[in-house]
Amino acid sequence: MVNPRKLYVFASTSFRDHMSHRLKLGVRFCMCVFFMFVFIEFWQLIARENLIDIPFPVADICWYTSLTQMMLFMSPRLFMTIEEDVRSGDIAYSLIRPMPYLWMRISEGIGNMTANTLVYYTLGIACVYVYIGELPSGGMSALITALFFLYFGSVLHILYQAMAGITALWLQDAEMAYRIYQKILIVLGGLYMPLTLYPDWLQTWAFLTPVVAMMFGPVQFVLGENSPLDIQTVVLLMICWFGFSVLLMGVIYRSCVARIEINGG
Amino acid sequence: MHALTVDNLKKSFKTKKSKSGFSGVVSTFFKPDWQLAEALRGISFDIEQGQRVAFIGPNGAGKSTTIKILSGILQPTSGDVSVAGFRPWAEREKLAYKIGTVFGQRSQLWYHLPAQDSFHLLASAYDVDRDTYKKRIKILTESFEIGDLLDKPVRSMSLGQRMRCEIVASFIHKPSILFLDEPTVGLDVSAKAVIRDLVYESSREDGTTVLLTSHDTGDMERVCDRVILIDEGEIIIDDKVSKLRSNYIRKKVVTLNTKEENIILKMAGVKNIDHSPHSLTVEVDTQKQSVEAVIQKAMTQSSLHDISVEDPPMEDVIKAIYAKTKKKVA
Repeated sequence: MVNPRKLYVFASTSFRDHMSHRLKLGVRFCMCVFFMFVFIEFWQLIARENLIDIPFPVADICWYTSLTQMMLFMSPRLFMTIEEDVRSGDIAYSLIRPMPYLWMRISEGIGNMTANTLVYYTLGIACVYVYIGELPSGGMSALITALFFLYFGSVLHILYQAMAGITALWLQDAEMAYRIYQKILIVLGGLYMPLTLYPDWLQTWAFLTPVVAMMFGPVQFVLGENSPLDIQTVVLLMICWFGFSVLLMGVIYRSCVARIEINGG
Repeated sequence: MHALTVDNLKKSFKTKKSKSGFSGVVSTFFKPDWQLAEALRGISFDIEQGQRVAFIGPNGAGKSTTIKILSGILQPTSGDVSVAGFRPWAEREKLAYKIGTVFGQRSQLWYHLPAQDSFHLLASAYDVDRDTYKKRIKILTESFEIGDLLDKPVRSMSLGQRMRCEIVASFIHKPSILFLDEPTVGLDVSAKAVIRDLVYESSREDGTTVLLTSHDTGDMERVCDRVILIDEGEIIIDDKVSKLRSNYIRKKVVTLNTKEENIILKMAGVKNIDHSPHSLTVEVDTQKQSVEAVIQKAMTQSSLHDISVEDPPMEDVIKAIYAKTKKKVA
């Protein structure tokens, strides 16, 4: 069992480290704001021109796509850090610390993401509000609920990034595994539009994957009355997928350690 | 009391043999050709608590593989190891609290943060309580003279300063065994001397066992009492550092400052290695010629202003030992 105090210390050190990279943080934030505006413009244009029939207020869907973009940009690219550790052999040297390697990297990823959250949840939300000009139809409480769950969804996203990163031990490269996972996240997580606009069969597939608990589940609260999942369902989804993901990660990690023990990383 | 015991340790790596050309690539893809590379061929040794041992060998000799097995990173193919009473690969987490590691080319410090943030992090990782940490860091800060570095981001430190901090980082949890892998690589002469003295002093004061690998024989001479020479996965010498010169090389370097501008020493076992007006440096093979006889012969040709008799550099001693071993094998 990992000591939570150790997880906290690694996360807080990573938080401080990330806060010292102001330029990096700022550039990434600006890119995120740019993409959020592109998608807001996109949906506002669709609504203005009546290109498709949107069953929600346009402001809601603008908030929805802004938050899904935010989730992608907030999370550090942890798979690359792990891939680099595998390539350089540093992963082998991390095994002799009294802290499991993957949990160490995940804590650091959470610390890094928390630093981003501070900026994105304040400046980012302010930018979106100014651009859309109104809150989602569910009001401030819907927005806060979405942001609260989005933080945990992002933590789940970090777990899957870590698993993608560790595949570098077998495939020499984590990019392939991450790209496959990312495409699943984009399509089945509902990055560009809420899953409720998808055909029924695709929604069924989406609900069989953890990406629903990461992205659509938390963000759909901004759809107000039109949000298909209530808080209890999202909490349950998250608990189940967290449990499954941690177990899966344990299996992958043990297999990874066995491989390093034999080959030296 | 043994801090570390290694018994008939063997390690082989399975590597894929690549073939050249298109057909080679295709055949390797469908039917890989595996081969076994033996990194360690049954080495055995013990190290007493508090002993400082240098583990020396050329590239590919098996030094790093041994350190990786001893620290718990690698699992051996066969043989047994006990480090601080633990089997490293099976009890890695328990062992982690007993050992400290410094790998010269890898850092455990956070690059953009002040060194003390990394120290604090490591103290938490090793379950060092706050009061113990404060006392420990005070002692280490004084002995390693890093007081002015604590608040400095690691990225703005010189390599020598960083290495001092790396060693402090590995000492925070007061390990009883310290593994140092090339701790002075890339450092200038004065920084190397500082690091060597600090490691030696700290180990002497705390009774820490040190196992050091290095290509720099200076590290071995200044820090260690004992040396294990390894080549092609086998131990070829295990002896005291002080005995290495006398037991394995029978040469002395004699420098003569003479009144005459030139003198000539043609004697069996004497080789000129440097010559300038009023000075001559010769290497004397003490199995063929005594140093005394060389000096006497020189005195018949000129009066001497000064004489110095030195051992050859340790690097030459090591080279000579490897050359001898290679000859025996051939």
